[in-house]
Amino acid sequence: MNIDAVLTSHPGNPIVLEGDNFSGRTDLLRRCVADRSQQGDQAIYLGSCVHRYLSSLMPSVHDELYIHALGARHEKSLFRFAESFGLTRCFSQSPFVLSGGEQVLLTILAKLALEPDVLALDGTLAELDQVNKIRIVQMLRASPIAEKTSTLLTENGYAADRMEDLPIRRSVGEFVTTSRTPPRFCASDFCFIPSINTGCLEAKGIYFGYRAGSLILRDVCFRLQPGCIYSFEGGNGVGKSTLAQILVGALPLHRGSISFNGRVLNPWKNPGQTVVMHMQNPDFQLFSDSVYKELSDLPDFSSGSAARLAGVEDLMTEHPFDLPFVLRKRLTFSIIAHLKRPWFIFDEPTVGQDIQTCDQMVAVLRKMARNGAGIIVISHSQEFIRRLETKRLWLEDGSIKEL
Amino acid sequence: MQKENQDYAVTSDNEQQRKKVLLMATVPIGLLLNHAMGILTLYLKLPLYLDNIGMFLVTILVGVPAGVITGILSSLLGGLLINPVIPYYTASPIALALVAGWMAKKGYFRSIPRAIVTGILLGLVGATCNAPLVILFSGFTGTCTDATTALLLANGQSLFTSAFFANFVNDPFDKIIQCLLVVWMIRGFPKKLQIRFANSGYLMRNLIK
Amino acid sequence: MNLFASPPSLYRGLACFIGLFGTFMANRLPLLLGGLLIVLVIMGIQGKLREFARFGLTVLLHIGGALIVIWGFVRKSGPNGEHSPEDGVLFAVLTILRLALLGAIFLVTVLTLSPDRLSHLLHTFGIRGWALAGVISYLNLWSDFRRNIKQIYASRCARRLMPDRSFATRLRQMPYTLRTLFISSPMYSLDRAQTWESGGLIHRLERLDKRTSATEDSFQLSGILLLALATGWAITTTVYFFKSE
Repeated sequence: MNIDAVLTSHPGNPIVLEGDNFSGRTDLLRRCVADRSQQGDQAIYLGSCVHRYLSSLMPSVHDELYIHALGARHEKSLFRFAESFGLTRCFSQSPFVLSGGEQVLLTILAKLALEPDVLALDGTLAELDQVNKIRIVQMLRASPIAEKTSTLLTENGYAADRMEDLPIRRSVGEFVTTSRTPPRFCASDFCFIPSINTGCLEAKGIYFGYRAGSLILRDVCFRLQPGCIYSFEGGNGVGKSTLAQILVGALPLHRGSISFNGRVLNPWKNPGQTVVMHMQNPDFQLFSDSVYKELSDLPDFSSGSAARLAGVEDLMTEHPFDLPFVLRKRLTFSIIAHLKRPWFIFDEPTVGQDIQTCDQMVAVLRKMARNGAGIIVISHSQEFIRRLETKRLWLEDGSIKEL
Repeated sequence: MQKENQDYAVTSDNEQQRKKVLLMATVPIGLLLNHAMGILTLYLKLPLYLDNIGMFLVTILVGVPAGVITGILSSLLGGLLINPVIPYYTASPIALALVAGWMAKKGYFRSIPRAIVTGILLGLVGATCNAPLVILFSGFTGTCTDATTALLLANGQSLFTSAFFANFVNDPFDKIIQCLLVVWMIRGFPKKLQIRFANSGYLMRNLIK
Repeated sequence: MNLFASPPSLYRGLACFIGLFGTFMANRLPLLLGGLLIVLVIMGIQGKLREFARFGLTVLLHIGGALIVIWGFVRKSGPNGEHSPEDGVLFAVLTILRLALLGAIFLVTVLTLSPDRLSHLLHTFGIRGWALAGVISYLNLWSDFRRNIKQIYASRCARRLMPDRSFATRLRQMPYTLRTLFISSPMYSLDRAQTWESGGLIHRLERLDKRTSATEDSFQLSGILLLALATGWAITTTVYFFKSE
C-alpha cells in the first residue's frame, strides 16, 4: 500500500505510524517527504534532535516565529499558541539557548506556520513532558493552523506513555517490508563490575543560574543512598539536566556543597570521578572514528560486554556517526553502564527506543543497583519510572520535593 | 547501514541546487570554526593563530570559491567581532584558499608528511601576504607574532625587517598545526558525510582508500 | 525628525568606510585625540562605552604597553630614524590611538546595529540571497556553537575522559572536541540549509529586509549628521597628512 493513499483518506488529521526500531519508519517518512517535495508539495521532516531544524536566520524566539509566520493566514493564532506553551517568556532569547522541550514546541509551531502539506514528526515529541505533548496533539487535531497539514508521527517506548488522542494508527508493515535482523539490546549478557567505593551522595543548598540574577536551582538539598534508583522529574526547562551536570562536574558549583560518603567533593575539579552521566544527545558523547576505538577507553573485558549489550558486535569497524540515532544512544548507554563509578545518571535513555529495549534498560539499571551502584534517571516516561520503581524526586521552582 | 546513509535531505536532482545547499551549509560552519579557534588561541595565549582551519575545511569539502568566500567573510566579520585589525589582512585568506585548494586537488591532505609540506607552503604564502600589513600597525597587532617582532626590534632591526622575519618564523609553524588538524578531522568523517561531499570539492582525493 | 534616532544602515556603512580612511590618514596626536573624543561622545549617547572599555582592556592595553616599552625604552627612537625616547613613545601612542579609533568607529557605526538592520546593511552593499543568509546564520549560530562546545566538554567530563582541569588536560581535549564539533556541525547545517530552501526562508528574509528599509527613512537626519562627521574627519586628516608631507 502507498502511504499517499492514507494521507489522502485522512486529510488534516495526524496519523501515527507504529513499528519497532529498525522496522523502516524513518526510511518511509523520509521517502514520503522527498517524494512529495519532488511533486511540488511542501513537505517537512523533523527528527528527534530539533535544534538542527531551527533556521538560525533570526536572533530571537519571537523573530524565528515571525519569519515563519510572515504572511500566514493564522499568524495571530500561532502567537496565541506560543503564549499558551509558555514561549512568550523566552521571546527575546536566542532559540539556541532554550531547553530541548522548548525548542521542540518552537520548531513545530514554526514549521506549521509555513502551512506545509505534509509534516513528518519522527520521534520529535519524545522530549516533551505529558502536558505539552497533549497540547501539541490537540493543536494538530483541532486547530485551524494545522487544518491544511497532514501530519505523520512516530512514537516509541511504552504503550502507557502513548497519546490517546491519536486514533488514526497504521502499522509501518503495511507500507514496507524489511527482512533485516535488527541489532539486539540484551541485558542477559551484561556484566556489571561495581566500583570499590560506594556511598551516599548528598547535596546541600545548591544554587545555580546561567545568567546573573536568574536562578534555575534554589536551595536544592537531597541525600541519596547507594543501591537505589532515583528519578529526577519535572516539566521542560526546570533544571533537571542542569542539576545532573553539576553533580557530574560539567558545570561549576558556585553555591552549596556536594558530598560523597560524608566527604565534601569538588566535582568541577575532578569531573566524572564520583558521578558519570549518559547525556541526552549521544552525538556529543562519541569521539572516535570507529566503534572499536570508542569502546577501547573501557577496560578490556568491559569493552566486549559493552559491545554485546549495545548490539554492535558486528559493527565494530563502523564509524559511530554512521550508526542510526537509536544505536548511537544504545552505544553511549552501554559505555556509561560499564564505567566503574559509584554513581550514574541517565538522561532520557529511552528516547527513540522501542518497548523491548526499554525493558532491557530497566533490567540493566536494576542489575547495577543490586550490585551497589547509585542510579539517577531523568525521564518523561512515566511507565519507565514505574517499572524501575524509583524513588521519585520532583524539581519545581528550583528546588526538590519528594513524591 | 548503507540505506541509512542515503541522501534524503537533498530532495532536488538539480546539481546547482545541491551545490548551493552545500555552500549555504558549510560557509557559516567554516566562519564559526575560524573565529572560535582564533578566540581560543587568543584566550589561551597560545603562540598560534589556528584561525584558518574552517576555511581550509570548506575549501576541501566544497571547493576553492567557497573557501575564498569563507576567507573574505571571516576577515570582515572578524573585524566586527574580535579585533578591528583583522579585515586588513583579507588578502591573506584569499591567497591561502587558492593555494590550499591547489594542494588539496593534488591530494596533499592525504597524509601527515604531505600535510607538513602543505603547511610550510601555506605558511610562506601567509607570511608574504601579512608582512607588509604589519608595518601598517607599526609591528604590533595583538597577536603571537608580536613577541618575535619585539625581539627583533629590540635588537636594532628595522621595522620592515622585524615584521617580515617575525611572520616568516611564526606562520609556517602555525599552518603546519592547522593542516595536521585538518587531516585528523577529515580522516574522522563518517561515510554519510563523505557521501554528501563526494561530488564537490576535493575530499575524496584526500581520504586514504 | 529625531537627531538621536538610530541612523539608517547605508549612512552607517558609508560613515564607517570614510571614518576608517580618515583614521589611516591621521598622523598627529591632537587630531587623533580629538577624533577619539568625538567618537566617545557618540558612543556615550548610544550607551556603548562599556563594550569599548572591554575592547580597551582586552586588546588595546597590552598592545599599547608592548609598543611603549619597545619603542620608548628599548629602541629609544621612532621607526623613521628619530633618535629620542620621546619620539619612540610618541610613535607608540599614535599607533595605539589609531587602533583605538578603528575599533571605536566600527563599534559606533556597525556594531550598534540591531540584527535586522545589520542584514539590511549587508543587503545594501550587495550581499543578498543565500550569501546574506549564510552571514546572518553565522552571527546567530554563535550561541549554538558555544553551547555545542560546552556540551562536548561536558560530555567528555561525563564519560570521565577529562579527569581534571589542568591546562595540559584541557589542551588534550581540543582535537577530540574539534572533530566531534566538525562532524556534527555540517550534518546539522545541511539540514538547516535544506530547510531554508524548502521553506522559502531566504525569500522571507528578503521580504523582512524590505520592511526594515521602509521604516528607516524617518531617521535620515541622524544618518546625515554621522556621515557629515565622518567626511569632515577624513578631510581634516587628509589635509594635515599632505601638509606634513
